[in-house]
Amino acid sequence: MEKENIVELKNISVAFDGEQVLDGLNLEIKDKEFITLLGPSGCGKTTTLRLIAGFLEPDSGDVLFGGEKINGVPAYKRQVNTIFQRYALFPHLNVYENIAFGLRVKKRPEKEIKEKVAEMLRLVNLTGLEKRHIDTLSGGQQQRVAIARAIANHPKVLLLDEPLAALDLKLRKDMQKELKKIQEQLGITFIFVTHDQEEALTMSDRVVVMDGGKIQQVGSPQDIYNEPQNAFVADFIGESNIVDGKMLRDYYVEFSGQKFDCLDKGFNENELVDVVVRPEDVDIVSPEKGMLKGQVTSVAFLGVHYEIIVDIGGFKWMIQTTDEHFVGDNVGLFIEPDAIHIMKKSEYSGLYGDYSSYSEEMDEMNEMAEEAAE
Amino acid sequence: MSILRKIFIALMLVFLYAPLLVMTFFSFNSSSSTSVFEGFSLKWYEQLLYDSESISALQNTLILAVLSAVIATVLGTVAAVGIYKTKKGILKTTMTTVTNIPMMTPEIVTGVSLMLLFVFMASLVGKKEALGFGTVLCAHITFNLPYVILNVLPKLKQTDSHLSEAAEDLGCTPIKAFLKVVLPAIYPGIFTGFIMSFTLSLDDFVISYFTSGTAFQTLPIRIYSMTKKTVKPTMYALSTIIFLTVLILLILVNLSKSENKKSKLRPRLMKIASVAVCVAIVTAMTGVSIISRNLKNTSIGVVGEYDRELAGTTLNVYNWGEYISDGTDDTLDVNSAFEKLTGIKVNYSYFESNEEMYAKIKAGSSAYDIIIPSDYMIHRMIKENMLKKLDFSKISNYSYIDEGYKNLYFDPDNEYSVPYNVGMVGLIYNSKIVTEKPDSWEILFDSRYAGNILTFNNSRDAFGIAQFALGLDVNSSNKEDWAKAANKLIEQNKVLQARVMDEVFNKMESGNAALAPYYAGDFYTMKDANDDLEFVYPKEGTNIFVDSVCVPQTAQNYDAAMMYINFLLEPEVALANAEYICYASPNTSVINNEEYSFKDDPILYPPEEIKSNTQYYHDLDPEIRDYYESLWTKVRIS
Ligand SMILES: Nc1ncnc2c1ncn2[C@@H]1O[C@H](COP(=O)(O)OP(=O)(O)OP(=O)(O)O)[C@@H](O)[C@H]1O
Ligand SMILES: [Mg+2]
Repeated sequence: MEKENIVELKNISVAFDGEQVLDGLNLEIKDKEFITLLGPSGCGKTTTLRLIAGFLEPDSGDVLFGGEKINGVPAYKRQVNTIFQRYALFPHLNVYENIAFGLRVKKRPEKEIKEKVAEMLRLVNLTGLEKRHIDTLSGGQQQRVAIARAIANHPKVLLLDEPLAALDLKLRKDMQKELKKIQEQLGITFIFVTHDQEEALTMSDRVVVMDGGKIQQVGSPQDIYNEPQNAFVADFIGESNIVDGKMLRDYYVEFSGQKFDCLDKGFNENELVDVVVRPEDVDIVSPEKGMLKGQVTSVAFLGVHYEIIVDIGGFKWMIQTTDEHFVGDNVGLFIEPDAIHIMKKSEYSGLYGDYSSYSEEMDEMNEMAEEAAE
Repeated sequence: MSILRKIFIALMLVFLYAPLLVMTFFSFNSSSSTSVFEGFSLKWYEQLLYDSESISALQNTLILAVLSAVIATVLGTVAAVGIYKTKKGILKTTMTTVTNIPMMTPEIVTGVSLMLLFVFMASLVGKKEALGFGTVLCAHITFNLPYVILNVLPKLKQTDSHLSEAAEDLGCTPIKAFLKVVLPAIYPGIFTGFIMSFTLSLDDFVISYFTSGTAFQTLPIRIYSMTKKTVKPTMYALSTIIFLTVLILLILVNLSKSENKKSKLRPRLMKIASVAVCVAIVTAMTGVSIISRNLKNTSIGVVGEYDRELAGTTLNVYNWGEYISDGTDDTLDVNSAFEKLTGIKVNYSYFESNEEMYAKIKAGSSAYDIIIPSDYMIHRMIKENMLKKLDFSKISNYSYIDEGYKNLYFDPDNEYSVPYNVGMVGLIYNSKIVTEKPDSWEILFDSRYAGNILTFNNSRDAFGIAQFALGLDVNSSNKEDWAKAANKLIEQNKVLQARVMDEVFNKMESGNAALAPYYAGDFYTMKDANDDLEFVYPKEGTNIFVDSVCVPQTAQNYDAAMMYINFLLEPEVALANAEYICYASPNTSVINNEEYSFKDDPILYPPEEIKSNTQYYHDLDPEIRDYYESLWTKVRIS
């Protein structure tokens, strides 16, 4: 059964000082889902959250909550709570009072407040720290207080603006799990903002990829990863080799001077397209067996696998493999039909997916390191 | 290292607190000496009780400081938030600069311009008496505002801009969010702003002076007018009390702060205690001022007729400082006695010089009913039609005025003025240093006493000495005469220790200087402190002056003014004044009174041959005035 939409953004546009920050944004958010806004810095993620929270009114377009238009409803009347990018905890209050703040504003009885705060503290693992002052807490603890403060109010929707950005990697992983757990326990809609694609993929039910104030793609993590809609999404989500190709006919594509079987269809005959091949989907074989032939120009060991750059007719491919190869080796590449993903041409075509600059940068870095060593 | 640091801290504390300690110490001195401690006594604190004017001035100052600080803090905080919220741009820069301007402008400019504004606005609504408590309050708020803004703005910038959004997010309206979250965050800035405003307002003199008008007096103004001669030890007592009060308050504030984190009850107790202390102080002061009013001697017998028809009206009197018997040391409180007799409220305020009084009247900023200028100034004011004719039918006591003080040059037909006091300039010398008895002004130019000689630090009196010494007319319209006198003064520079006015008391009393020309009445004040001092009228003659009671054209309560003038001429009142002020009285009932302690005193009432050898200063042509002022400048810089 299709769940109902709790929040809807309809054709939203926002401009600051003449600069278009959100441009005709349309988004439907389902009740109780964990949806993530993902995009590079400055793409308008925070702005989108602020629209929903009520700190900002759109220049045009509507914000709907539970099917009702809430343009003009002030923030304090919306059933939405926010965890701010920098927490914004109240420095003059202790942990207990921070969490109790929303309840006190709503004039709940003292007994209820006490129970609720205790429950929240248990939920975020902070029991025993009630009396502590905010500035005596560690970053992770502050983060938990911010979460507890926001959900103590039982919001229908929780907005989280890069809540984990300030934490170190280990703590971030733990908190990701906890957040997910809390979301499932409470059954609240989470609208989560991040610019970390891995975080987005592991936590979300659905991911919204944004760039330049526009939504590039909405879908499940798998969809986004496997079926990127354009070069931007393909490149932003994981590593991709993106080459120019031509769709000869359904299930048959030509790129890098060779013809390949593939699983995509529905393009015009001889339509120019972008072809995406993920680095981990390419096998390195001997030159004779390879569909494409080239020379290894750089090798980097990353622990789990090697990252190898292969020059094929001037275009540099990245390949991830567990086998070791050496710079200067002549190799062949083998690509299965299901490893090939075809995308329509877009404004992003030609901007991403070539690792030439990548290897040059690596060379430069190596040289600099060598110079420094001497 | 740590010893050095301790020494440094000790030195700092000494420098900071030594003056206060010395002052506190001498407030308990049983004599008025500032150099010798002659035993412990609470005398000056007791005397303070009698000084109801100082007490009420203190009250005014405190009320003013608290009110202006509170209002400025509220307005300033709101303004700071407004500026903070304004988008960066010309508007913001302008607003910040504009609010800072009052802080940069010299106080005197702020004071004068505010006075002009208030007077102008009052004239728009047709009100004569523009200045008063309200205007001083406005002025104080004005100069306090930038300090509050300056303290609050940085705190606003420091606080996370998302704090108030976070509060709104949790259900607060924007106003509630500000009160619950932003206010506590910027509170330290607000508090500092308040304390700064409070202290600034507490000790402001210049701006209050210009904006306070006739009816309202703050403690700094009061003290300043009292120090015309010397600072009285009662002021040490008053200052000690203020200092201790502030100290106690500060300690309480600090205690409540340091306890803040440990328990919840303590700070509340502290707050209650602070409030209690404040209430106690205010109550005590009110009590003291009521008592002090009642302690005063106001009982008197009168010969003139006084009715209570004008009871409830107000009379604004503008006089020299310490120029009326005011009830200290169980003397008669003249103004209170008049109030008691007639039911008219007397507003009494002071001026420092004829010129200052003239400027204030000319500006029309205040409607005084009684002024007491000196002869030459009366002359000028009559010429400029600034005085009202007096109704002598209502001043029956005018008959007491000595014939010698009627028909004087400035008021030949006795229409505008009634003489109040008479003074003469004489030569004061220290007989320990000046062993021969001097008889000539020339001794003030004598190189044998180089470094021991003082003279007046005002042009007319200083020129007068040179003119008498040279045998010139003090009212000469011949520029050459003035140039000659100026040369004489330039010559005097070589032997001069200093040009002084009020400092003459300290210098002569302490033996720091040996020779000084000064007003005869003041000689006795000095002689009290140093018995070696003697007085002589030099043979070349000297200046005589009369200060007379007049009524300016702007007066509002003419009939009460007539009643007051008559009252001042009452034998008992005139006697009390003559005893208190120590100047010669023009009132025959005083001169002939056997009880009068200065009866036939050779200095205040010199024999006829000396009296006839005197000259009044006349109001001179503006051209001559400008000329001798330019010469005066030359004298002082050569
Ligand atoms: N109040 C504002 N005034 C002017 N420009 C603004 C304002 N708020 C945001 N912007 C601009 O709008 C654009 C989008 O900002 P937004 O904060 O939504 O980005 P973001 O996606 O959250 O980025 P980040 O990942 O860095 O937080 C940016 O270019 C930013 O400079
Ligand atoms: Mg952001």
